[in-house]
Amino acid sequence: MKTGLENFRPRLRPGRVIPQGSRIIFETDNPYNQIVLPMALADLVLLCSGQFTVREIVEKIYRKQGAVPFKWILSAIHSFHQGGFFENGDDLTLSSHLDSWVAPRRSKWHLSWRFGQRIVTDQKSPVGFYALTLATLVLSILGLQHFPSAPVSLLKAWSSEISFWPALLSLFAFSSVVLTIRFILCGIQLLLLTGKAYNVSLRLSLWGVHLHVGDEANFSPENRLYTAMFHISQILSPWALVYASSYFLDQDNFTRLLITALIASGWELNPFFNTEGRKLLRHFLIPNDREVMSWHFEKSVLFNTMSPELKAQDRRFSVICSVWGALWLTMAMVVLHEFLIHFGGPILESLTHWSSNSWTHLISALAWIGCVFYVTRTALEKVFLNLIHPYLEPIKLRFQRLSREKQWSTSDIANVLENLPLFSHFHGQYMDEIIAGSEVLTFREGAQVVRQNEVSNDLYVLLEGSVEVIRSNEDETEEWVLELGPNSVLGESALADGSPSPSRVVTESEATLLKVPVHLLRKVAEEAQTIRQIEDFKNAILVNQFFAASPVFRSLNAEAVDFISSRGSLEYYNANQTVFYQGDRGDSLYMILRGSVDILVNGKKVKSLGQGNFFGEIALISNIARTATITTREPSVLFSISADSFWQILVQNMDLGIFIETISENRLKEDIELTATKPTGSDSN
Amino acid sequence: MSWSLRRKQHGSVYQVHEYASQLGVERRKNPRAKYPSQNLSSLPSVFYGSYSVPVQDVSVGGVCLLDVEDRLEQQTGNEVEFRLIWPDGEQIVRSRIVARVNPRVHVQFLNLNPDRAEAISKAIVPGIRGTAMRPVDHPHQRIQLDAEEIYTSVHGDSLVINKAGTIIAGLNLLGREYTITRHFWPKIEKKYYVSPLEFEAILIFMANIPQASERCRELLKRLQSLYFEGRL
Repeated sequence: MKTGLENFRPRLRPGRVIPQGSRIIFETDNPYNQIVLPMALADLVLLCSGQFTVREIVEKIYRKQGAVPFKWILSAIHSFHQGGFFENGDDLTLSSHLDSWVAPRRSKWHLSWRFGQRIVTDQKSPVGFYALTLATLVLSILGLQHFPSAPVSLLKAWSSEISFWPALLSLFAFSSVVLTIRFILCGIQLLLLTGKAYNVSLRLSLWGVHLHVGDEANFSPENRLYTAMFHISQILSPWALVYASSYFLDQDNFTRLLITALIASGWELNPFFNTEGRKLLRHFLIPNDREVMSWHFEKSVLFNTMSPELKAQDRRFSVICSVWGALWLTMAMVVLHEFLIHFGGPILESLTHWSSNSWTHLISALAWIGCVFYVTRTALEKVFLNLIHPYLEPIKLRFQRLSREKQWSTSDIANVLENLPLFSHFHGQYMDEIIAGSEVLTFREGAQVVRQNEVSNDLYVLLEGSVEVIRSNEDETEEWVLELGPNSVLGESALADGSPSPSRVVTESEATLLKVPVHLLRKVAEEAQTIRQIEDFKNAILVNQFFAASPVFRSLNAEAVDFISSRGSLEYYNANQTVFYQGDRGDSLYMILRGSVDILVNGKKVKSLGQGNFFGEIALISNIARTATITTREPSVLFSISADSFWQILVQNMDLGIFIETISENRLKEDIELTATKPTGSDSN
Repeated sequence: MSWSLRRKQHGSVYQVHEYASQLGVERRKNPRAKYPSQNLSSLPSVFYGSYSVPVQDVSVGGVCLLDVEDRLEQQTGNEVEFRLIWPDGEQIVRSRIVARVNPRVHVQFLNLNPDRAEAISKAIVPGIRGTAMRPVDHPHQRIQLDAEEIYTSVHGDSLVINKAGTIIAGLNLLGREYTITRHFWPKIEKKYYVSPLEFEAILIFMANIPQASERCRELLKRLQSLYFEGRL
C-alpha cells in the first residue's frame, strides 16, 4: 500500500553496517551496493527493519539523542530509496514533479548473470582516470568526423545488400561488442577513480549480449569535472571505437559499426530513461540536497514559503529537461520520418502482396509504429505537459475561483470555521448561532477592512482572497506587518482589547470575509464554556492570529495548533527587556504575537524580528546553548512553547522539522556573515 | 555554473552545529565535566590546605568535590579557600560551599583568574561533547553490525568498539580520528601518536559518556593505565 514519508515503514535489505572513521558504510549483498552515511545515522539504519514508521524512528532518535538531524534523515531515506536499498521501496509515494526527471526508471528488459559482486583496488589513480577519459574523449571527437550526413540512407544502402535477419544479427553482434568495450571502459574508469566497481555481470538484452558494470560506485567522486567527464565519455565512447577501427575494418563492417555507434550514443542522450545523458544533466543542474528537498517538499505549503528561488531552480531544471527531451524526440521523429521515406514504399508493397518476405516487413512496420507511438506519447506526456504546466496553473486557479463564486452556504462557512483553532471549540447549536449572526461580505481589491486607530465591534474571517496588515507609524512611515490568506482571522486584537486597532487591514485582491460581531462571539463562548486552555479569550485570539498568519505554522492542522496552544504560555515584555542570553540553556521556542525583538550575537546586533516570526529554535533543534541574546525593541507579547511540546510537534510534522532546521541553518549562516562583516559601533565611529 | 568541488552527499558534521561552532557560541554557560583521573595536567588538582580533595566534576563556575574523609567546611554558604594547582602554577581561589550531599560538596569559585577559567573552559570541551554520546541500539539481526558497540552524538563525535583485532576502538572527536590499540598510545589519523594533552582530552571525553557499557568502562581503564604508564 502506498504511503507518505512519515507513515512509511522502511525495511532495508539484509546487509551490514561497517563503521569507517566518522561515517558508516551500509552494504547489501545482492545486488551489491553501498551507501556512505554520517555515523550519527547508525541508529536510523538499524531501526529501518520494517517495524517502525519514519515518524516513530524520528521520535526514537529524539528520545535518545535529544535532537534530530531531519535533513540528514530525509537525505538518507532518499538515497536508500533511489539506490533500491529498501525491500518495500515501492510503498513510498514520491511527491515531486521532478520525479519524472530525477527518479531512475531502470530497464528490466534484460537477463543478467552476475559473476562479480565487486572489484576493489587500493590503487586509485585520479590522474590515470583523467588521462584515460581525456584520451577517450579525444578519440571520440576524432571518431565523430565519420558521423554520416544521412544516417538512414546509410542504413538503406547497407540493408539493400543484405537480407533482414542477417542484418539484424550483425547489428546485434556489433552492438554487443560496442557495449562490452564501453562497460570495460566504465569499469576501468570507476576503479581508477573510486577503487571500486560493483555488480559485474553478463547481460542479455535487446541491445546484445554484453558485459555490464554497474555504476553504483560512482557515488563517491566529489569532483564535478571528473563526474562530467565520466558521463560524457560513456556517451561518446562508441565513437572512439569508430575512430580506432577505421584503420582496420573493411567498409561493410565499418558501416555496421557506424550504425551501432549512432544508435548507442543516440540512446544514451535520451533523457527519459536512466541514461548517461540524464545523469549528466541532473549532475549539472540540480544539487543533491536540492533534489532531496524537492522530493519531499514539493506539495508542502512550507516549500513555497521557503524560497521562491529554490522553486525557480526546480522549474529551470524541469524546463531544461523538457527542452532536451523535445530535441531528442524531434531527432527521433526525423529519423522515423526518414525511415518512412526510405522503407515505407517497399514495406507497404510487400504487405499488400503477401510473400515469404512479408513477415520481416510486418515486423519492421510494427516496430516503426511502436516507435512513433512511444515518441508521440512521451512528447505529450513528458514534454508538452511539463512545459505548459506553469501556464496552466493560473488558468486552473482562475477556473477554480470562478467555480467558487457562489453563495457561501451555512455548511461551507461551518467547514471553514471548524478548521480554525479559535472556532474549533464550537459545535452544533453554538456554531449555528455564530453563523446565523454573522454576515458574508465581498471587498474589492485595495479596500480597507479594518482602519488603524478605530475601534471596531466586529471580527473578520477571511474566506477567500488575501489581505495585508499595514501599520502607519508616528513619523508617517508605513510598516508592512504581514499578509493573511484564506482561513485567517483578522481585526480581532482591537476587539479583544476594546482599544483602537494598531494597524489597518487592506485587501490585496477581491476578498470574501465573514463579519462576526464580537459581542455574539463572547456570548456564545460563555455559553459553550470553551477556551479553557488559554487564560482568556483575548489570548486565544492572539495565538490564533499568529497561527493563521505565520507562513511557517499556517500549514499545521487544527489538532497540532490546539496542541501547541494548550501547552504554550503567553509572556509579556516591556521594551528593551532581555528574553534570554547567549549561552543560556535553550528550553523553549518563542513566537512573536505582538511587538518585535533584536538579535545580538557576541554583543553585536545582527537583525530584528517582528510580529508573526519566531525565535529560539536553534538551541532546540540542535540541542545546543542559545546562540544569541534576544531583547525586545518595544512592548511585546511572546508565546513560548516548551522543548518537549516543540519536539512532539516536530516528530508528528517532519515537514516542519526540516523547515525549521533549514531556517536555523540560514539564520546561523546570516549571523556568521553579519558578525564577520558588520562594523561594530566603535568601528563605525 | 562553477567547477568547484561537489558538496559531499552526506557530510559528517551536523550543519547547524558547524555554523554555531563558526560563530563560537555553541557552548553552554558553565557546563561541567567529570574528572577521569585526579592527576591530569589540563585540569587543576584541588587542595584544601594540604589535603588533596578528589574532584567529581568541574566547570568554570566551580567544582564538585568528593569529601570522603569529611575534612571540608560543613556549613553551606561559608567561604573557604582552595588551592588549585596546574603544572605551570597555582592559584588560591576564594570559594563558597553552595551545597553538600555527602560525600559530594558543591563549591562555587568566587575569584578564579580569567585565564585559568579559560583554561578550564577549553579542557572540559571534550567532556561536554562526551555527555552527548549515546549508544546505538541493534534491535534486529537483518543487518549485521561490524562492531561490538557504537556510540554517537548529534555533534558528529563517535566511538566504535571493535569486536576483535589489534585496533580495539576508533574514536572520532572534534573532527579528528583516533585509533586505539591495546598496548600503545592512541594514534591520530592512524599515523602519529597523540600528545599527552590530546590523550587527556580523550580520557575526559570517555569519562563523560553516559550509559557507558562494561566494555566502554574497560576501555577507559585501559586508556588510563596506558596514559599513566606513559608507554609508547
